[in-house]
Amino acid sequence: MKKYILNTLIALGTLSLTSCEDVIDLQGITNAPSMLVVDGNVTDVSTNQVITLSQSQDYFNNATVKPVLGASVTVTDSDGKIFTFKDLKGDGKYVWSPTTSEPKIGQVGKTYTLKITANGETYQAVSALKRVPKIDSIAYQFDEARLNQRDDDKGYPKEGYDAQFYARDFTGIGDCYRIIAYKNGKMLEMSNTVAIAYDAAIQKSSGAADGLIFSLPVRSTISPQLYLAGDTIKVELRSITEGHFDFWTQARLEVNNGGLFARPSANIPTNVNNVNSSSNKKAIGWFGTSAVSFSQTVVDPKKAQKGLR
Amino acid sequence: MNAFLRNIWVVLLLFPLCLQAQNQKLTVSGYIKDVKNGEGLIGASVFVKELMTGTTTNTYGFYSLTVPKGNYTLVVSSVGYRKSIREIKLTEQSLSLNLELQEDGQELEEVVVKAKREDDNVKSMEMSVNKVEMKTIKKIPALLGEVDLVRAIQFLPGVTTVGEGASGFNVRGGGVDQNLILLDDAPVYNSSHLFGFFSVFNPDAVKDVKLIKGGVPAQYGGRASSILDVKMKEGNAKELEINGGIGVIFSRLSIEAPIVKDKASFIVAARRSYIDILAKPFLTGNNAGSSFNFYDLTAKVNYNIDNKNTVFLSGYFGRDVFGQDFGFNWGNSTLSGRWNHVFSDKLFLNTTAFYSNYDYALDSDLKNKRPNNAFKWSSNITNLSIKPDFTYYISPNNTLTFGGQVLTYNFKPGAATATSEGESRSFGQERKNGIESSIYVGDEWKISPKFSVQYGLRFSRYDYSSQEDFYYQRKYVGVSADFPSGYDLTYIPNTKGKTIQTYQNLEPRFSMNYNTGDNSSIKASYNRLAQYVHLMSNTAASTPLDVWTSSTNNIKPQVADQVALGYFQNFGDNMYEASAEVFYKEMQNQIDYADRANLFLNPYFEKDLLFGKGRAYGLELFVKKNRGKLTGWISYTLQRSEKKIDALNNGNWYFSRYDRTHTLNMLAQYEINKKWSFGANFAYITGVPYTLPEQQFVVEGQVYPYIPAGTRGNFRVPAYHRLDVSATKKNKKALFGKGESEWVFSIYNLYNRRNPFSIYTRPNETNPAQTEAVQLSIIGSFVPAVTYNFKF
Repeated sequence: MKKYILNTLIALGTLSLTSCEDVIDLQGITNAPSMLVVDGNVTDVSTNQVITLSQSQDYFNNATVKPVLGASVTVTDSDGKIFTFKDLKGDGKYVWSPTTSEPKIGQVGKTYTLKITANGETYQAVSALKRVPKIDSIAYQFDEARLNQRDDDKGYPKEGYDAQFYARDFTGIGDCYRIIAYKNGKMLEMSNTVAIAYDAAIQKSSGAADGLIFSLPVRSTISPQLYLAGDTIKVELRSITEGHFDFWTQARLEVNNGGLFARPSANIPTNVNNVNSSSNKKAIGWFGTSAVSFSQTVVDPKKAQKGLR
Repeated sequence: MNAFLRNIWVVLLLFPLCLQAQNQKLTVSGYIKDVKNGEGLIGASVFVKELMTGTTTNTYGFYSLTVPKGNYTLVVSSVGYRKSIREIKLTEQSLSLNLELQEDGQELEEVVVKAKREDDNVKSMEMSVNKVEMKTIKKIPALLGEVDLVRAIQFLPGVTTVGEGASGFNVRGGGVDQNLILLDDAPVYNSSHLFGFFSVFNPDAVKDVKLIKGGVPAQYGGRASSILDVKMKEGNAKELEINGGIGVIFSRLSIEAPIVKDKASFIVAARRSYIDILAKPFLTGNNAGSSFNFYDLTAKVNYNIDNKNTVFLSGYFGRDVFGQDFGFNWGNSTLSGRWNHVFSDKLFLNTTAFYSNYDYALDSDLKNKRPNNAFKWSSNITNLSIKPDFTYYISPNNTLTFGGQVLTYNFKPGAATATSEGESRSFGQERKNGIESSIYVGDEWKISPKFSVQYGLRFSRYDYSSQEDFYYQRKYVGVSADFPSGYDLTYIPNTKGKTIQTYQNLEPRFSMNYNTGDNSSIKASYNRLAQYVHLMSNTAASTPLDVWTSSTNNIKPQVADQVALGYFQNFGDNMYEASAEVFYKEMQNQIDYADRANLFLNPYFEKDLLFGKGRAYGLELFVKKNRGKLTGWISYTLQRSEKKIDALNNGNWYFSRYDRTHTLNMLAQYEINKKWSFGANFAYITGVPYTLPEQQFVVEGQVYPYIPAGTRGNFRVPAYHRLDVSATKKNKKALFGKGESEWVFSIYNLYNRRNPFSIYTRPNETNPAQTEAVQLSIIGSFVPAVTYNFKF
């Protein structure tokens, strides 16, 4: 929705007047208190589960991000079962690996509590693992690239196959999803275009999109660029919590904010809190839990459809 | 409610009868008009030489003077017109006297006319008021050569915007929604075309512009900061007149002519942009068939039935259209009907009834290619109103105004239909109704030749009801990740149309003028203004999508109290006028938005709002040269505009988004000869505040900003400055060897400065783990333009 408006505005801007952007040097705010950054997810897939811990830094400090080492990281499910994460390589990535007796952590309907003890402080995050529908199909049509599918610098195809995936949202308001697409095994999503859905729509619509087949803008999120004949398209649909949806909505807004109609910069929410609420050591980031469904297909020009978009 | 309305009408209708009773002296009254086109002259002076007293004409050119019986010399004058002197006999009965004044053209230079009201600046009650003549506005070097009223008033003291291309304007530290923009008495909700680059007013159809920033008379109300009163031309009542212009962005044409000479006339004026036509060859593939254009149509007819009755009907219709397959359009329309009635030579009535509408619509499927997968969104606000205004000319020293207004609002803040694979769902914000009723009385009293006061009282009332069978009540739940404002909503069932909340305000108004010498005066004023509708806008510049919302049980009306003090002095036989004013304004129930507020199509938007107070104060200096080859002005404003809202900035005062510390404007127009004239203007404005993140953090390889909750405006965009120039060459003849014409050459942003509009931060495009700051300039180079104007 917003993207359409944006495109219209951009087209207008370039044609009518000579607006321009210049990268400038700013020192900004220095020496604000650094915070623990949590970046981690637990899924119902039998694979390594990773929680990355790092330290935030001054906004314009472009030094390498400092990992948080020597922390104790556990995830406890609502049955009281504890999963311990270990920093195997000493790089701040805390990993839990599946075993034959314990093939996965996540299970739909359970709630998971992340507990981190680092630098003498204890932080906690709670997240419920929500349901996810299965993907019915992936369809594509041959077309020329839309404005937002073009990037000549990166050699995106100028014409090719524009794909959509079909799935139906569950009945019941507030199911949230994240969609990740892979082209020949490579994740296509860039973080500033993180694809998320609320019920069957791209944004909150107070129940109006509840229980529908995913709307066209959601279905099209798997084509941030066009595919070519023979490419493998893999789609991963993840359930996320409403809080996690808000996190991505705001995170995406903050990195794409600008222009004539820029909003004031605002705080990106977090679900990680210091257990000691009076401590001035704070945490940011998100601990997410997801059920995942997959689908994949190989682009075959003979199977291309018409009139999809 | 009904009883309340009935009372208003009874009072309004009986009042004139009571006044008729006392009739001791005799009265001369009538209309003063322009001899060339029959347009009523606003603010012309009617002066009785023997008594050294006088009055001025009202908005319709009507005057009334009540004096003791006798023979008098009446001197009628107006700036830019030849003085007219009449001997009148007021011995037996009151007199009706209509006069026409001749424009003070170049050829009359030998008869140097000293129009009395040149010292209006010092002598009148008005302070914090700027009147700009269309003649002056037309000479200001303009962006792309297009004469623009709203951009022109930004050169006045106390008026700013958030930046180039932003729609609307800010007056004395108030928000864009705090200006009541009236076009022939009907409110205009979005004054901009093309987002904010051009205003909706066609300069060829505008007669008079008045901006009231303070000391607002009791007859006006409904907004907290200012009144921009735009009056349309009536149309040439003497002969056919055609005006037009061909510019870079759009072209204009207006036709005015008498229907019955000196009795009835009309004007029709139209404009259309043609960027889309010029751009057509460059749009291919999916972009083919794109349209972006705007147009507007302004029309007015008037009929002078007899000496006592004149009726007017005027309308405006404008629209901006953008779209490829995806379409977006917005526009205002207004229709006002007016009846001027002279009850007696001392009592004048203007009754206005109007309709006003602002709407927009978005459609994801303009060409209807895939009706099974579409998204449609529309929003509007509609007004219907009736408004009688009486003027009672008690004596030359005492004029009473009184009247009232009933203004109904119909809000459809946003309704959307989403269709996915043929299944449709509708959602949006609930529709609301409002009735704003008011009565007022005001008096202008010249206590002594040196001292005069204007005082009045306005009573306003607002009744809010819902068109749905429910409404929401805000309740405090505490600030959290889910409720950044700290509020949630409770659903409350309600009978459709039943009044949910009523607000009432008494709005006192007061101004005084004390003449400290022949050419100087001190003025002071106080006013309280209540505002019952609010623009929900959370972006750097207000967008056409922003929604006007009613005051509700959760949203209280904004109330502003302003005091102002000024010193006014004219020099050099009124060739120069100068003024210095200070003001202080306090605003209650100001609105700001919680972090992550969602204002569009969100039925629960009221929980995303934050309320607090605002204040603004400043100093305005103004020097203007009125006559001679070189004319123009210099204005300087020192100003602060702040808000204080509990959840924001730790509950401390913070700068509003439109806070501008220094504003310097210089405007000069130089007439070399009858053929050539030049114009130049310079603007310097302190940058607006913006918010920089404190920390960065990385999630999934992408860097994100950390901004502590509730941070507002911790940095400031660098200053803005710009110089524009223009040259006008007048030709004796226009097309087909008739009329007159001119070429206007202009350069906007002469020294090619990339003026910053805003600064924002983003991850580096090639390395999303790195951060950078970006300065956005809306107009990043100089903009030359040529316009051809004609008149015949």
